[in-house]
Amino acid sequence: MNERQDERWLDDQLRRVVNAGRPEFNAESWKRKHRAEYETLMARRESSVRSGRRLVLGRWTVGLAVAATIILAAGLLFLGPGVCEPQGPAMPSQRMADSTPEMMSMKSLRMAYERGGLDALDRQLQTTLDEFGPRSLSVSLRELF
Amino acid sequence: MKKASFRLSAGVAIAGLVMSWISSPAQAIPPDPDNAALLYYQAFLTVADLDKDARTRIGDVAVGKAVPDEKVRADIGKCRGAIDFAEAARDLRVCHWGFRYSQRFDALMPQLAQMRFLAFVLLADARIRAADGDLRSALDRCLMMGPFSRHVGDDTVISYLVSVAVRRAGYECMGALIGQAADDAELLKWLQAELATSEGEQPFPVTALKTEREIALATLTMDNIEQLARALGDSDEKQAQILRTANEELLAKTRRRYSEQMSSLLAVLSSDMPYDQAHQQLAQLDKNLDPNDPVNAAATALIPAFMRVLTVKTMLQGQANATRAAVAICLQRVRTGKFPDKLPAGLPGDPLSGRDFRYERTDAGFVLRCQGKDLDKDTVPEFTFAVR
Repeated sequence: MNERQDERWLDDQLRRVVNAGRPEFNAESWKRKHRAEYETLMARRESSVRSGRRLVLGRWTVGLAVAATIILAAGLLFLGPGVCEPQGPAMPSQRMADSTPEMMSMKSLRMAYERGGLDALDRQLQTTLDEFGPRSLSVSLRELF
Repeated sequence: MKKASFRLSAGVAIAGLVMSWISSPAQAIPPDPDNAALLYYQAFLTVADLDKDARTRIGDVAVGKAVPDEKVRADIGKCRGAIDFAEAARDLRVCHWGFRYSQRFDALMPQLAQMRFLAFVLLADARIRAADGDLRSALDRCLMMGPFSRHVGDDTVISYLVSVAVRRAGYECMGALIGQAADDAELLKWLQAELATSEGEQPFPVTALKTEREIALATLTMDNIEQLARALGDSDEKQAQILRTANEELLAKTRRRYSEQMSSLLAVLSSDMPYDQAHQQLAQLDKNLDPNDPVNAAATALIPAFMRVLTVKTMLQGQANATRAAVAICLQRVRTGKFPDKLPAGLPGDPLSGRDFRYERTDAGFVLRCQGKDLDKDTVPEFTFAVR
């Protein structure tokens, strides 16, 4: 056996001995034995994950706000103030159109009818349907399992 | 003797035990819902999730603006579950939607838009069946709009108006199909009988108006002043003005004025007086209140447009009458081989005038024209029937 072969043989032998007897870390046992330390470690870990998330979200939100500002400024700069001017005579300040849920209220539907009759009522009903749409949750028992 | 008596008693006891076991609740499955609204809510959940274009196509086919194509057929096919629920609801008398009256004018009514769309689905299905040659089931779908519109309900004025709109859509669809059935005497006789029995399905506005009166009176209080402002004011300025000026004395006067006015209007609407006379009286009652008086202004702001409600109610009756008259005319054509030269006697008439419809032959079929006017739109309504 030459020197190189001797070294390889020895490495193999050592590897077999070391791996065979290598003690494995028993996490469950350690958790039980060091419960307080484990809980402290977990608490620190969660806090750092949350703050990491907040940091990521915060950076993302700021980035979005900056982008929106740039786009708005560019729009004003290049499109000109004329685009933002009202097209017609100034209207007296009116309530914003009802939100979609409010459009389904008795009050809102009555107002639509009072203003424009059955056609206006029909349009408002169509609008609420367009917003919410028909609902389809048809799932058979078989698909659930 | 004693032995026989004992045997008889034992036999009766055993028979009783067997009968109670057979009929025990543990053996019976629960009954289907007896509240149609529960079935309709399930229909809303099972109707296909269609995009706006698909819904528009269905609506167009339902009202006769478009003929059913493969896309609409496929979309309606996806709504089979919903149609089945609507069919199951058809024969139920009760339909309680669970409307939250305590919310008064803020109460949401999401079922109305859904019922409207479901009506379009049913009528599009009717048009598809007619296109496929199944006229009887197509006409039956149209007849379904009778109980369907009753189920939409008369809880409130808005419910009543949607109910009328759905019923009218059913009559319009029927009118288009009657012409296709013009040669089938059996089918026409069946339809004639069905229309006669469905007269009782017409929605009636008085119940809705009485309910709304109670809702309004409950809202006309300082405790509910913000809700009242939202109900009366269609702008922020108006709402702010209402909040500034309202006080208990003013509201008490408004409640009295409102109640008196509503009672007078309801009395006219509930009466049997002719349309034009009722319309005139309602207009006069409207003018009797000086709009510059804030009490009158507040009271009338809460009162629905009674004249329009009267016209809507009368026009629906007109459409029902015209449809029945058209079926009778088609039956006469089947019997004699041609359309009558003049309107047969004894047919349902024009409720706008209280007289018969004007009957006019056309190249395509015939027209039934009212002799009275729609006094809101100042038009003379007519109903056209094309016969192939």
